[in-house]
Amino acid sequence: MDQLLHGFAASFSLINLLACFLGCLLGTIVGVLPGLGPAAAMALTLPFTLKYGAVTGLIMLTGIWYGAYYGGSTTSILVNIPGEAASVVTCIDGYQMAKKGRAGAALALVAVGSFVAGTIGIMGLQFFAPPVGNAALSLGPPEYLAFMVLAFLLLSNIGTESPGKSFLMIGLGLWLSTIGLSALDGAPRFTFGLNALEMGIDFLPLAMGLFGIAEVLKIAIEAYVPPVVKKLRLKDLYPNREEIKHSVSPMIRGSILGFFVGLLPGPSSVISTFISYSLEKRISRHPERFGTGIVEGVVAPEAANNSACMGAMIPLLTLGIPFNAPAAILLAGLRMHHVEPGPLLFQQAPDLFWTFIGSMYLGNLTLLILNLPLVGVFARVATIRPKFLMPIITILCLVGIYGVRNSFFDVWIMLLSGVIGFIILKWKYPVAPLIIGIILGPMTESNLRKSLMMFHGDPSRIFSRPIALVFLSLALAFVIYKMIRHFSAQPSRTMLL
Amino acid sequence: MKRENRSKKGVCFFFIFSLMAVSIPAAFAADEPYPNRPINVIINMAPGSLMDNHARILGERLAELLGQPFLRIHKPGGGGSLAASFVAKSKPDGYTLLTGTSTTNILIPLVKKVDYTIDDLYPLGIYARAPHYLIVKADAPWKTFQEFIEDARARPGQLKIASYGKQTYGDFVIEDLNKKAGIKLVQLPTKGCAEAVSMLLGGNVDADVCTSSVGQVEAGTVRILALSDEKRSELFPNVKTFKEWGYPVSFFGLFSLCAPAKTPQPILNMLSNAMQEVFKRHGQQIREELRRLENTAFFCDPAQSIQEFKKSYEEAYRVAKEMGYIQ
Repeated sequence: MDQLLHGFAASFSLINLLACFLGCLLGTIVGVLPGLGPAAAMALTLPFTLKYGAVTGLIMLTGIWYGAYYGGSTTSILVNIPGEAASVVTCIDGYQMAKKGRAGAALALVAVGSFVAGTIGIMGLQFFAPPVGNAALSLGPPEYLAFMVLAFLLLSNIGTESPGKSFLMIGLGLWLSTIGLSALDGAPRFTFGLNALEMGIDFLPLAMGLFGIAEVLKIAIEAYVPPVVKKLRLKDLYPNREEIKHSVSPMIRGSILGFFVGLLPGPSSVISTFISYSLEKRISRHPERFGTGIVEGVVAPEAANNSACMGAMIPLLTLGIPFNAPAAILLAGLRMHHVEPGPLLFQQAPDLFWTFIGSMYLGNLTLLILNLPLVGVFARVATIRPKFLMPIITILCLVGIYGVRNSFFDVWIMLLSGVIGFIILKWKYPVAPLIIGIILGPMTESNLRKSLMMFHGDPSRIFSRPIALVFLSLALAFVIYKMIRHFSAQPSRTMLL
Repeated sequence: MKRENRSKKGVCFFFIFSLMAVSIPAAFAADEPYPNRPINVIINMAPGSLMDNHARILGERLAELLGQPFLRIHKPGGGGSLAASFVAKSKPDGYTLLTGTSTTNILIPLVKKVDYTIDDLYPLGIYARAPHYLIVKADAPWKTFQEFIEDARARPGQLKIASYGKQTYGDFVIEDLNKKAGIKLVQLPTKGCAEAVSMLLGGNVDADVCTSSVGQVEAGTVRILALSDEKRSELFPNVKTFKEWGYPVSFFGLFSLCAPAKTPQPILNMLSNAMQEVFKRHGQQIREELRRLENTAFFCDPAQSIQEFKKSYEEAYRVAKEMGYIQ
């Protein structure tokens, strides 16, 4: 505790406060802009931080990272376009809330939820970093594989009431994810000899197209019905008592879940949002209302991605191993400052660690103060007439997605998936399971193949790994539970898998 | 109606004016000697990556010397082949350069179907190299590389080793070692060194072939048994090479700045001379900055660079053929 107070004191220096504020501000902007994600912004900022100390640089770069998860939900809620990958799932209920005129409430609750999650995440980082870091190491390919099996089962209920449609879309996602060079042996699949297809179809342009561009097309094609223009009152901007009451527990659950999912390698913040959305739907007393614009479906995933970001910092700081792209850039930045993250960080540079922790508490508070007044501004965006708003949004998407990899191919993917997304929307198929297939597919495949290699081709040896066995038992229990419920239920009830 | 026409005219005029504004400086600049506008460095990896840092270290100093900024443009993907192909096909005017690694320049054109060859890219100069390390956990039973090999020989197909991907140099190191030492290590390809190291630390594999591991070595969680290079590394002078242990496996990373091969010779000379000048003026500083990125400075002129590339190419060609990657 003494060290933390010392850390707070150190982070209160003018330069550190400024770095914290600038980082958070930049992060929010990056989060709001579609396409551009935290990793790219951190990389662009990295050279500028080299002039200052390691602590200042670290504070600023992480500020961008967690700041982006505050802003990411804004465009998801307002116009159905994910500001960055971890806000895809927020589109489902967030946009529906905006359509009902509750955009302000959604934005305000997301800001509060992000703050709560960020703070819980930092506490986890502060108190449990070394043991949790070591525990994360003991997870190998078999454990990830078992977790993926469980995740597929849990996530099958997102965005639809029909399991058949849902599985079809997961299958489509799985197929799309196999396009390109296979991860393990570099064999080209479905590339038709095209070099551009070899690197596979990136998930971000696809998600932006399927959600955002499809929505733009829908609005463009459908006859425009001017909404009943009502004056935006201050009361409408902020959540009512009912909404607040319904968002407290999802917020806490999302935070805790996100923190642990953050320890997974790969796009953990994205996965955390899907899992927490799905969890809320499963434990909810009214699952059928998910997707119609309820606050639980917005707050839980947005809390999860913030604490997942804190969770992902643990392997980086305690082991020196970056589990995802932003962490890798943070690692590069620290190295440039002669700081080597890893088991020795706590012994060699305790000041750095505690100042860093202190700054993140401050950063989260800054973001809350920064974001709450912005709610009013953004909520008005939702009332702009589509003929002005949609072209601007489309241009932002085009520029944003080109900027991610400087690739025109990605722009085409986004536009094409916009058209496909529009058709899917018309036929009332859910889009979210497709995204799940794309994200989980490659992870499942590579972990399955790695596990088989480790077991010399004998899949039954997965049962000799205790943690994997726990995940698999949970998956089996889930299936049995669903079957019992299905067969004991009234014949008229449809199966909600 | 009339007003609308006028405003349309206004827009047209503005458009033409801005076109002129953009093109006039370019037209004037065309007469001035090279370089008269910013030079684009195409980086084969994402922002913040190793090559991005390399490009910054070199680019800032070259810009100072040549009086034009070096802009870093990222074209990651395809293991670097997208960037390399882009530069190989770009206008050979000296304004588009590539951060070329031995993977983009040598390995990929050899094992994959791409639309460029090693000869399409002219090395203005190699500036750094990086060995591959064979690392094991600190508490692993093998004290030396020899013990590791003997154990592997006694238990063929039992020891597992992580590489950073199939058809990478890590793959080549493992398979060439298997052949030269007469052992059978089971290779688990991963997405990169970070994943490989976490699999090693978690006890899911017995060893790793990696390009970076300084943090873990310093923390004492892993040990380097041997490294793949022609000579020992400045960073770990006590670690013997594979060759010294009697198994001449020698694949290492070479980092260079390249231009399209058809670039006019005067421009190539100017750029490569500028690189030599930068090495001379800031050599010590560059060496230090590269060291922090776990690379060793290795300054070559174009002739030496071509020689180095040729040597690496022949070695890679031999193994690629043995492994059936090429006919």
